[in-house]
Amino acid sequence: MDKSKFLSLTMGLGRVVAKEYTHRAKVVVQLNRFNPYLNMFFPETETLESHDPNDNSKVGDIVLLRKLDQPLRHIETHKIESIVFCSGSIVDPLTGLRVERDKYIDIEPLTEDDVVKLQNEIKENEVLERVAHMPRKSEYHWENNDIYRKQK
Amino acid sequence: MVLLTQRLLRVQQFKKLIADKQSPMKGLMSGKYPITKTKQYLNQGIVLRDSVRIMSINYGNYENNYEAHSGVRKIVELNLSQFQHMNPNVQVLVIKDLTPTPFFTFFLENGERFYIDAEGQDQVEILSRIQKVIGKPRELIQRETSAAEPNPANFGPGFKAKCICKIQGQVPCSFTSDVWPMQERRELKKHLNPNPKKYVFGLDDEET
Repeated sequence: MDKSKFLSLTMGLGRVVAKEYTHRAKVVVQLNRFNPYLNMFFPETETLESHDPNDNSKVGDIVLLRKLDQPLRHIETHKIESIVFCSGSIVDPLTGLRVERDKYIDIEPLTEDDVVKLQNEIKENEVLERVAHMPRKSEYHWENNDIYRKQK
Repeated sequence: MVLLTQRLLRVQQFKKLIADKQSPMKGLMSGKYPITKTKQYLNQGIVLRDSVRIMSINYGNYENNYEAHSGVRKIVELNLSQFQHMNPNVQVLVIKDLTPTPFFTFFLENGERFYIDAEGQDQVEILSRIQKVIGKPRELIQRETSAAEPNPANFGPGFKAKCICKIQGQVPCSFTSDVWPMQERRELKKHLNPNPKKYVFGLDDEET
């Protein structure tokens, strides 16, 4: 793929690969290229030198890039706007908790006893259904006193 | 006669084998889900709005919660090429094994971003939600693709009116020697309205 397509990207999401100089990071960006004979997309990557104004990033971060009007220091065409996922402490954006691949770090998972207790609480607070929808068990209605009481 | 009939039978069987194996897409319809490699399928994708720049999908293959990611797994298998084909200027990414629950993120040009949760949801439910939130409606696409109407005020060799004299309200043609006399032209000027915004019968249009 042409390098001009990567250099003309206004916004991009990439991964930091190297950090040799201060305020400069090497970022890997991935785009999909179309093959007209197979009608399929294949990924192609390219490294971009980007400017890091705060010098917060480190190797392994996932980072949002934005294009600069003029390149700084002759090489840096993009700048790091914000860090999306910081390596070492990945935060799930939907819950706000720290995460490691499969489990939440700040919260302990529920045990089976807690789950059973919570389910029982839900059943107690349930609203009674209408009696007319319930079938009668015996022929004599005065024997079906249990229907008119709350189910335990 | 016996040998000839056996030969003919063999030739007929050989021709049948060839006819059965021949298919239109001989070497291309191979692999998993070859229908995703046709242009008719790729053109049926969702068109995102102009302000979207990046679309990223987060999901994972865990033993713990395998079925909750199944909807997103099907989208990545079948529908990702559709997104990229209809939006060639958008960066479409897949990030695997980072978070326990699956979700989509859309990065806009302003710098804003928003998330769409996809845990335990079906493939079709997620796609209909994306179309509602950030997809382009059909009317907008038709309006943009349809060509603009030609200006009816144009005249010339390629247009309806060859000369300005054919248009209603104009002076007859001066190409011939029979030119409209000057006195009748002056009578037209009396009824001319140099300021067409104002009504003739007294109402001022500027105040309304």
